Amino acid sequence: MKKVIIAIVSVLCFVQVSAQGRFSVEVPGVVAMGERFRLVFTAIDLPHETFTPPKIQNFHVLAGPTTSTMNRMEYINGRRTQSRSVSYTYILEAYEPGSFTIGEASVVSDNVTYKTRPVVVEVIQGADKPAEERTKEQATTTEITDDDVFLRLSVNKKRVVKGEPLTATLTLYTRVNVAGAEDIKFPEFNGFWSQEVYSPQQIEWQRENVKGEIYQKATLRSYVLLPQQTGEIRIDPSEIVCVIQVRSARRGQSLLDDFFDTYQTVRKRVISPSVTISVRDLPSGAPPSFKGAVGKYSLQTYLGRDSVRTHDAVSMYVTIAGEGNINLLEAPAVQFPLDFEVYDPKITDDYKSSDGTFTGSKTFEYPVIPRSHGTFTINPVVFTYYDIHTGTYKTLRSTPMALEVARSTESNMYTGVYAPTHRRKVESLGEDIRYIRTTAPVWKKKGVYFTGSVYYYTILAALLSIAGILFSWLKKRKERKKDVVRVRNSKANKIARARLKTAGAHMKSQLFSAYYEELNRALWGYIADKLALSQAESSREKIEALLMERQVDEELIKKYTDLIASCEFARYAPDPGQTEKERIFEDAVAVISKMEQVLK
Amino acid sequence: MRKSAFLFILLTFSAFVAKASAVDSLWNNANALYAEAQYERALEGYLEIEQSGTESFDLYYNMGNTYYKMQQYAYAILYYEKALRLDPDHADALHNLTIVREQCIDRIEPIPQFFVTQWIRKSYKKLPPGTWSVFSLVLLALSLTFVLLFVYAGSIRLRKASFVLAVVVFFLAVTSGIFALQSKKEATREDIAIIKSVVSSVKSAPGAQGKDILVLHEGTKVRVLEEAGEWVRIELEDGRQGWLLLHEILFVY
Repeated sequence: MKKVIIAIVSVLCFVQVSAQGRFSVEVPGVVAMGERFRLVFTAIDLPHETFTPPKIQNFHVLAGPTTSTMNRMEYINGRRTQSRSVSYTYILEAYEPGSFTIGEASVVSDNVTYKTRPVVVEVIQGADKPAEERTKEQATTTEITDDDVFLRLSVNKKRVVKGEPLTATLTLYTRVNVAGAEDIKFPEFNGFWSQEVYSPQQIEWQRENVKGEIYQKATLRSYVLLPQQTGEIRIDPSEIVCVIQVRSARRGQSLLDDFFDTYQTVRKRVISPSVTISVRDLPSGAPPSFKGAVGKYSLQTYLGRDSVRTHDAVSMYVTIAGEGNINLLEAPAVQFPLDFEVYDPKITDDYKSSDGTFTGSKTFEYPVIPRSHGTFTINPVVFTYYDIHTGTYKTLRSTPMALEVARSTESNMYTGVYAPTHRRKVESLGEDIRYIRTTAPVWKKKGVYFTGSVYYYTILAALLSIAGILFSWLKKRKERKKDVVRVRNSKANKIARARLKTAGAHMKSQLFSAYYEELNRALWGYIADKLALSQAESSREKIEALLMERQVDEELIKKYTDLIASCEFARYAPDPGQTEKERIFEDAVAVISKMEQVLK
Repeated sequence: MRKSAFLFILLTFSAFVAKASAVDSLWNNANALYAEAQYERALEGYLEIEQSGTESFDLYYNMGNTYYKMQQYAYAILYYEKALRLDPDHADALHNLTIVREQCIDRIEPIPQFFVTQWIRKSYKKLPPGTWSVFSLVLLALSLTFVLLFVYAGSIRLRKASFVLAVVVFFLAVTSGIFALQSKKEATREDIAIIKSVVSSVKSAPGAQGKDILVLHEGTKVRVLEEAGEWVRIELEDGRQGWLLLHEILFVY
């Protein structure tokens, strides 16, 4: 769709001329002695120029400067651009060998001075004729030697560290007329990551001095290589079959032959010598953040937004700019706060190759979604590269960034429906030892244990002896108590008899109330002594229970208690008469003696 | 109960406690250095405490942590083992020991023990020896009380109950006493060692004529069976035996 109109018209003055002017020089780098060559200065888009010629020494100026002007106008997609160029041409002749400098020329245009750089022209003695002319002389033979055409693979560095970029250039040199090439086998760079950076559609020939001979040189391919292995890496040879036109030598030369050359096509296989690159490994001691970046870089980080709501996406951008193996840079690890959902980074490249390395930048975009609200700090991004110039690892650190996450307003948008919060399983991120103990401990002497120590056995002995003392004390107390019971038991009958005797005396002397009282005491006292009861403890029920326990005849128990009851009753009743008193007395004597037999 | 054991020790070694304030300041300094990740300096402080003849579970535990942070795993294991001798069932020390062991190369399957033995070992490792001892004394006192009750109690029921209790508690007292002694025996064993050198070859006989039979790595626990000059005969937890140079191991005591 490009429509280009080229016009060599000098009238179109109304076209605005671009202010971007250029002034350049063009001259072959190598010439043979005696050769005539052109030196051209070209001023492009420099209006109203005045040319100051250069200082030309060591060359014969055969003609010039001749001035020629060219105007060019083009339409590209309806836009018109125009350019005007003026060239000043010299025809020079070299007359002595050596390297000579053609000084700077300058052009003044609208009070601005444009200068060319001084150029060096090498004059060679050995080749007295330039390459194009030699081919004609070679016509007599169809023999093409290895010196006539050869292929070279040149590298700008032979000793590199792993990951350090280098350039490999495949160049064809010839001093014969190469018409074309067939069956091209370009090098395979095993052990390298390679990228073609120059692959011309049309071969451009340039002159070059090779060991005192002028050759035509063409750069076929140029590559940027990044070594991926260490050691001596061989780049295998590349091959080209060149199609060379040679003027055929014919017998029976006619006069016409001189005008109509007949050419013969000769095929010649040329092979480049193999090149060995020695690749050193990177020095040890790389920080953990090092991921193979080699070169010289700078780091920049920024957030797409400073404040978001929960569940809204936000991007963090990490840009690494500089030179080196940019194309192979890995995304640096960014530590986002734990409650952020992090997605794989998106990578944007912006780099080009120049001077055997890549320059430009690579941007990593990390999309994240904060799942909880609050103010979060994104930890600094750490990027480490190996600096080729200083031979050290350098670590770049970005500043920590704050991100404000507000509570999402959308959480309640599901009207009426219960919207579950984001409940998840708590996952372990890593494992580490537990922290030290910080409270002051209770110190003990080394190797000293309470177990089995003197202290332990002392306490053990003390416990046992306390128990022993208690035991014996309690035993003694029991003994003593037992004695009291025995004495009371043995004396019970005696005391009862004494009391009965007193009671008998009271009966005789008609002391009615004292008689019953004494009789009652005899009965109570006897049984209390026998059962080892204190006065407070004794009651009729208790006595009945204890006697039952001792398996005393129920009838006897009943008799005894009835007797006690009748004594107590009689004390407060009117005198029942002598016979009744005697009967109770005899009963008491009988019951006590019977009881004595049972209880002993 | 454990507190009371400590209290007892505290009282018993009261003269020793007087020195404690200096040790405490060393302890606090070392802890502060550890918090600042200055592990070498923190370790110096801990070592000074250890050399003064003082010990505690916490000291050994912190030293284990410090060595772990310095990536000296053999020493880390050594000090966790020491800490566990003073408190055999401490969860933190056991946890950290598991983590350090993850860093070690040798995986040794111990010979499985009879389950009763295993159960008994597990039981007496539940408490430090001192606590077991205090337990045994308290239980003995209780048992004696029940005996007295049994002999002199008035009612038959009370006497029956106290007889049963006295027997049970006495049995428990004796068990704790045995556990205490066993636990102490375990804590004062002098035949357990940790491999110190990163790689060490175990030979079939002491000296140069021995054939290499095993290769052990840093942090492996071994039992030392005998010593002969600069060589020691060791046994692994799986029962394999061999000879090692004495300077390649660290004794846990």
